[in-house]
Amino acid sequence: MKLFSILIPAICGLMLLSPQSYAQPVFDEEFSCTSSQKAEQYVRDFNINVRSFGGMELCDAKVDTKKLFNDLLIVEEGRFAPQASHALIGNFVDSNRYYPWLKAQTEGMNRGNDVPWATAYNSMGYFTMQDGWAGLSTLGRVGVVVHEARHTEGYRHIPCNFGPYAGSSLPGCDGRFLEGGSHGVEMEYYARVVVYGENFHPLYKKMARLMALGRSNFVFNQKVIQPREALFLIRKDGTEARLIDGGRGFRREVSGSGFLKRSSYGPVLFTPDQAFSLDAYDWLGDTRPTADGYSYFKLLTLPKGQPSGQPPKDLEELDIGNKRLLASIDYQDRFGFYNFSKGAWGNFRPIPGKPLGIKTQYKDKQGLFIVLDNFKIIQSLPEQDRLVETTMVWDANDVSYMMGPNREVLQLKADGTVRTLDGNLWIPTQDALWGQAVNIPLYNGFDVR
Amino acid sequence: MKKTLALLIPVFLILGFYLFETQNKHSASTEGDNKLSPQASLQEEPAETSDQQDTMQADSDLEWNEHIEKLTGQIGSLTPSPEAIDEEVSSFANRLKATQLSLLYKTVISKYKSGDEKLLAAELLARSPLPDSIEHLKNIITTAPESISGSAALQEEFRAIQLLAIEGITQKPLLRNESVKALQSLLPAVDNSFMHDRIARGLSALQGKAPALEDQDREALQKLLKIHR
Repeated sequence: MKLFSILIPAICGLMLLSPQSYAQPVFDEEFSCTSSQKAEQYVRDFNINVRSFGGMELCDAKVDTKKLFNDLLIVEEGRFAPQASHALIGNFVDSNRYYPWLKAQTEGMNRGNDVPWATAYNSMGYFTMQDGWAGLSTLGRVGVVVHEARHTEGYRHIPCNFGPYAGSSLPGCDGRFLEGGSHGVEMEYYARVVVYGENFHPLYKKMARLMALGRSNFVFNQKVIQPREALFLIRKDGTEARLIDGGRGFRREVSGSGFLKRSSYGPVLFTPDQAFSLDAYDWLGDTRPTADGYSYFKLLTLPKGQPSGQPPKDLEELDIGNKRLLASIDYQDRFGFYNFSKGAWGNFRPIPGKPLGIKTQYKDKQGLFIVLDNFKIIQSLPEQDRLVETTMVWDANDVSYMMGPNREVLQLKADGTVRTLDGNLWIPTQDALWGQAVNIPLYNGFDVR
Repeated sequence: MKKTLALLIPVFLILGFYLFETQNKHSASTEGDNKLSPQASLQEEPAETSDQQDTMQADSDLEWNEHIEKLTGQIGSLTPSPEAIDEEVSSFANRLKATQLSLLYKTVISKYKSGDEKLLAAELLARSPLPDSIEHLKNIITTAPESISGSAALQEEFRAIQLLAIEGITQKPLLRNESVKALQSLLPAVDNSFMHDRIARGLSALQGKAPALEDQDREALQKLLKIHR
């Protein structure tokens, strides 16, 4: 009898280690089940309505209860390097206290699908996770929990100025990162995981980096991460250029000739049938023209890349919100846009008047302004697909308008001087006469030398 | 009772021996390159009957699914050794076959797969040294997020995966020329300003004119955290 009682558990133990069951991921040491004690702790700490999440489940990550337990474990035991708390003076949430902070902001957690367009919502500290939450990656779900917790502290969203939620009657954005709202706290968490995270899965970290960069683009009405604006001027004699980056000025080469344009990648010299990129970052000692290979001006050299099949009269690249536009006046003096989804130019429409060219800034306004030969301005409203006549008039003495390093409006005059709007000479450029000037984006990851 | 025991012991021993044998066979079948490639197994052993092929296909599919499930499950866990997991993912990616790349691509654009599985699939495509991986990554980049899901949150996450795909194209040292061509062809095909900038910066990084995209991102995020000061 004694032998029998020993053998049965031994055989059962052997059966548990049978190849069939050993191969199942649930028994893999790296695909661990949540302990029942830990699950009880989470249910207690966050008042989780387990039934609504699909019932108690400790192992199968396909069940929402287990997903939530995984998320809470990551919040509780995710570690950040010690310098995380020192580097963040005035941080929104203490990096060592995410779990107690989350617990303090949570009255309860439910699973539902009563507001299907939302990912989750917070009603007086009670979070209801929707189907969108369940379909996210682990990083996305943890971000939602952190995000919702901030709402308990009284932070609310406002309508979006741009991005996918713009124009919606539902508020989905924060004003800016520094307000420390729900988007700000979520972003801070992602950034910490990337920069200071110690025991997170490499793909969790990678997703944190990409979500932080991607979301920062449209959840704040004032963008967090964007290229800084600089000023690029070419001397009137075309021999040399100058980059003005903040308070610093740099000599730059002019390789080629043409109309100076702003592109998403920097300054471009546009001729009707091709474009040359100018190096804003460095003095290379090489004045051979370099064909533009980075911006939309490159289209000019591609088959079907020229509007109406001919070199255009003018071409401008402009961002409106997150959408990048490429606008052109074709050789027949008509106006149109490139249609990216079709990979071809869209329909061109007549302009009411004889156009001289397109400007992307008029005084302090940015947009697409078509200047006519009588100096009247027609404005393009891309989102409404309209051209509208305006009362604005281009001054024949002005070449272009730009923004200065302190967001002051500058104007390049036909006499080669750069002036402020009230007519004063702009000191950083008084040592030469200038023929062309534009604002350009500079990326933080690139060194300006 | 002694009689019962005498009958049971041989039964248990036979059962134990059977399980031991089966385990050995199972271990042997998972050795080598074949374990991830149901299609490759079929090609290398054409003499198998149709029934045997089906069985092998099913076994290999099972192993493939189990491996994917295991790696996916790890994403939702913490780890004391992220480097070891990173190596495991790379090792798996290095052993992928071209036919499996298609499966991964389908996972990324699936409406039904979990977020972690999509993330893993995109990462495996990004790490695969096979030339076909570039075409799959390009297709991910040009897929409209709205076609993946009606949920704004899932569309946002897909955007992040598209950023991963751009980065993946820049991280194939043995396919540098193909990567440059792929990014150049994507430039005029994308109208999202952030994506377009990222493609251009990735191209620049590939040409040695800028740091790797990951390094550029980290610098931007470090600056973001310092805004608090």
